[in-house]
Amino acid sequence: MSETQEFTIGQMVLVKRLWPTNHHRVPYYLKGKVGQVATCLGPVDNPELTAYFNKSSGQHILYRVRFTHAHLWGGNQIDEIYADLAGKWLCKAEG
Amino acid sequence: MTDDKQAKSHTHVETRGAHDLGGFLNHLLAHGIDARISREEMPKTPYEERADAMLLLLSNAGKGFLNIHAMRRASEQFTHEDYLKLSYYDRWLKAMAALCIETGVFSDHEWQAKKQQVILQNKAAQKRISD
Repeated sequence: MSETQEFTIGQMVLVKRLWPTNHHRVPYYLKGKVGQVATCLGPVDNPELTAYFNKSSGQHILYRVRFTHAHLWGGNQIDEIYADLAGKWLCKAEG
Repeated sequence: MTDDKQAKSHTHVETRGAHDLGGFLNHLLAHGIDARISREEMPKTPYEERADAMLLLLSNAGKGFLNIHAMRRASEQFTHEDYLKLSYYDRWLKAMAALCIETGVFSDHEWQAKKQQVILQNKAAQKRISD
């Protein structure tokens, strides 16, 4: 079973500030940061389960989210950083 | 603010694994890790090619004993010291061994015994060369 797409392209999203000790694919430096959904990559196997050989896993929806360098690291660099993040790690950013 | 000050002011820093140090340069420097990125092409050594072949044989392309997510998870369970001192392929080998023990491909006892056997063989071979 797979979750449905809950974010749309262009939407601002906040990366959840959670620190589970199990395997997860969200780097520390993105937690609590706001980015913009660039693409919806569709369902993929959930690495948080397959990392433990859990075959009962569903899939989760992966989003490519764009962050600005300045937001993540400060300064005035104009670079952007893209990260592929699961929907369960995102929530709607407050306008 | 420096990395260290950020670390001290952050209540969750203890859960930051050695695999997740992006933007945390001072921590690497404190562990004596050279954080510079080499632009030189690095040919694989024979042991690295063997490690690569072993991973392929153990993975879903071969026997299906492990997958890349489990490999990452196993590496993340290393101590900071182990994780940072091991080379890329040494991390692979350590993770492969840990997962093979976990999934019962071989036991920890068999693994330790085999390592001991190889160490003794190497010592004997070195002795033959020097004699």
